[in-house]
Amino acid sequence: MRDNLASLMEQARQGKNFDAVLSAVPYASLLGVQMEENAEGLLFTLPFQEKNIGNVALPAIHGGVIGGFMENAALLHLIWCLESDTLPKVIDFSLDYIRPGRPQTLFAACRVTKQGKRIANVQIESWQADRNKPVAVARSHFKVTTAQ
Amino acid sequence: MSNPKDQPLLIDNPKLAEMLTSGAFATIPHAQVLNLEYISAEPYKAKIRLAYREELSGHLETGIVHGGVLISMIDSVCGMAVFCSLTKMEPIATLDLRMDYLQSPAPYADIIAEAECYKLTESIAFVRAWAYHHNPQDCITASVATFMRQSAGRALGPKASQRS
Repeated sequence: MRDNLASLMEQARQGKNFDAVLSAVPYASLLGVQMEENAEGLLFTLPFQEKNIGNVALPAIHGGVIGGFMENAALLHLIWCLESDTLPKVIDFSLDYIRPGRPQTLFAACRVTKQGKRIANVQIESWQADRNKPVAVARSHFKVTTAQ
Repeated sequence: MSNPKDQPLLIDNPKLAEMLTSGAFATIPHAQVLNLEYISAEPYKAKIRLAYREELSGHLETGIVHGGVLISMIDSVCGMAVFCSLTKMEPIATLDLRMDYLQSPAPYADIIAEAECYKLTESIAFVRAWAYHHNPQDCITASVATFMRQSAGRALGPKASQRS
């Protein structure tokens, strides 16, 4: 059976409007994730919100929010690339924090490093004002079923 | 892990223990959003709970908690375990975190996470953590994380931000 999220992504790919995809992921809506397609692929955006703060003194975005935003980006990016009927399933996620997430917009972009028949390896990078100063980098493996 | 210098831990002081454990999430906006609850702490170890809510799910149709929520939960419980291992207050910062998703969480179910700081050096805290519904032997996730100690003057903190 075709997964609903995969169907929504198929429609989004044609109409270049990802609102329906994001609203099917309640946690993405809770964080306030946005996404768009540009010349380089998919760009994920997380506008700053007070409720995403993890350290009031600095202040800094919660490390878990950064990680969750990136893992969500990896999954949606993979669905977008795969054109598969079934949802990829996350196997593992390895996250390196490079610098604190300031109270500013956070961006993320992904690259499918290897897409095999059963496993996909995805690299994720997130940054703020300067694309060359990553806030965090991550890699993740997903179990996938490719279209026959 | 034993305390090499045999100094009292922060959590041996009841007032500090309360601030670092049961009161820890009260001042963290995103912990409030997730509604993380403190369960227990002891030297080097901490345990917390996440009460299920639909808005924390990753998929409207399945009702399963989003992996990203588990990342926040594991990062939080690991940080708490580090504070349960320190002898004096100091800022800490997560360096890296690895999540292994051993099985999907059950839909609509609460999740418990435990962490243990198993090695502390002068600059780094090494932590392992796991999440489950009822049985700690039947894990949803297994994780390892490292934290930088005394992070204020280095990677994270007001001093670092003033320099940049």
